[in-house]
Amino acid sequence: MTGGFPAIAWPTPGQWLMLAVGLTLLALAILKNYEPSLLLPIGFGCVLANLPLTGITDPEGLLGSLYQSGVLTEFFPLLIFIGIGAMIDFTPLLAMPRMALLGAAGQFGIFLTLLLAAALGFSLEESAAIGVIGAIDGPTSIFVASRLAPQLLSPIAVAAYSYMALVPVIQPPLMRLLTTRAERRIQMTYAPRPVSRLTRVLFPLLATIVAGLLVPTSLPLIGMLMLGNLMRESGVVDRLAKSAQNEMLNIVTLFLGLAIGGSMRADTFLQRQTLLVLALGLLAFAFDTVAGLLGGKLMCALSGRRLNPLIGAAGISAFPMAGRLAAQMAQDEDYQNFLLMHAMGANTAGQLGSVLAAGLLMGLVAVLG
Amino acid sequence: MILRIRAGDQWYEVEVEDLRQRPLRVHVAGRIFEVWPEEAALQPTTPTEPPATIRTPAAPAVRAPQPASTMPGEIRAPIPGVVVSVEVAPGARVESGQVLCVLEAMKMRNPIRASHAASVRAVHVQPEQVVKHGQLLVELDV
Repeated sequence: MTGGFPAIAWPTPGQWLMLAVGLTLLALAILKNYEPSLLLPIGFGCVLANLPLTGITDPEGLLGSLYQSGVLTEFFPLLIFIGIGAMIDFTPLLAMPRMALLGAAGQFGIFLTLLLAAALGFSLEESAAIGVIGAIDGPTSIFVASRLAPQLLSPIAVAAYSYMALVPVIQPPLMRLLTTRAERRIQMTYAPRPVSRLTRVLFPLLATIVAGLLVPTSLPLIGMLMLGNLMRESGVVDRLAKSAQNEMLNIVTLFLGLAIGGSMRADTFLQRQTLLVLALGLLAFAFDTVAGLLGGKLMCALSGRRLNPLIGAAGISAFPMAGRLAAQMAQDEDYQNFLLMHAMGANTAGQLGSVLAAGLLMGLVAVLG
Repeated sequence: MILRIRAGDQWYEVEVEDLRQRPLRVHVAGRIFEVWPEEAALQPTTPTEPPATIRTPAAPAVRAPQPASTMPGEIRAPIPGVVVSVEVAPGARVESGQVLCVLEAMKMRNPIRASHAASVRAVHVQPEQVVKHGQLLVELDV
């Protein structure tokens, strides 16, 4: 397919296989309701990209130019971060700063996976990009991959976004395995601690400056995240903040999904590497979840069993799914236990943590590479 | 703590692991039972009383009042949010664990359930109402 047209307008076996993959993603979105806003455009893009003779994935084609102009330039993930920033309420984290520790604990899997990927023969850059999948933070994964390992961007993006849909499938068994029932039933009452408007407005500014100085490579991501958050918390640009977290986020997610789906071409996607990336990404996700849970258990013990370790699992990124899931798991054990605010504190910390970890990795690779 | 309980003519030695835990885990003659105290009255304030009834371990949860409650029967918002639906009307009979209303916070729907079987005395919220932490949602007869 590289250059020129195939002889007949009939899909190759590889294209048939990728058409089946695209249809499977569509089925998951439509029949199972798994993250449809992501999987539907990705699945459809995959179908489009694997019909022969269309030219749609060529650099001038629809999917090709979306990919070139939005994904490779990092625009789409960064624009999405403005929307996420406008959506995130950092109040639970600001009221409970110790949750930041869980957001750090949840990132250890990234580094473990990096070592494993390197041992399997991936380059340092590629290994770093694969490790970041573990945070289940799609935009960050794409940002890092487009910088460090553009040749792996497609499988990494597919892994990060499909695993986001699998948060409620993959995390609960690990959460049950690593916590006792008594721990899952630890009640954490919502204790509102007033967070002043000044704090909420200063936080995005300070976070941008501090992160920019400490981890310069994380600045594009954290800067856009905090721009969105400042729009939200300043209260002076409500219309912008609303558009960013609704219309803009939806539109960019649609384009990003299409572009990612469009990059799943049989000739480049069907390789042994892709399977390895998917497997390592899954492992990274599990490692991150385990690391977060162990962090939660440690804090549970240190707090005299007043902290429910389930919220540690929200310390990966996967905002806001992981936070909701932790709250849901606690509620399933005890319907009068409402952990949502605590889980969201850990989850927003995880969002920050994954961005900083990604920045650190990119800095490290630049130094070592 | 260890209690001695008489059932008919027989005395049992009953060990309770942690009185605040729900369900209570109770050791009787080498076996462990999970027990839900029936009513709110069973609080650590009356620690010497054994559970009023013993249910099967999987029995629906009957709970002590949640911390935000000030009076028995008052169901208060455990977290701030928006009421998306009210499932009961005043006068209705509710079972323990039945959904009274649904509170949405951070785009997650949280069912607020009855702490005990009762009839609904009053409903203080309506759909789309924004509620603060601890705000009274529903009153149940005690």
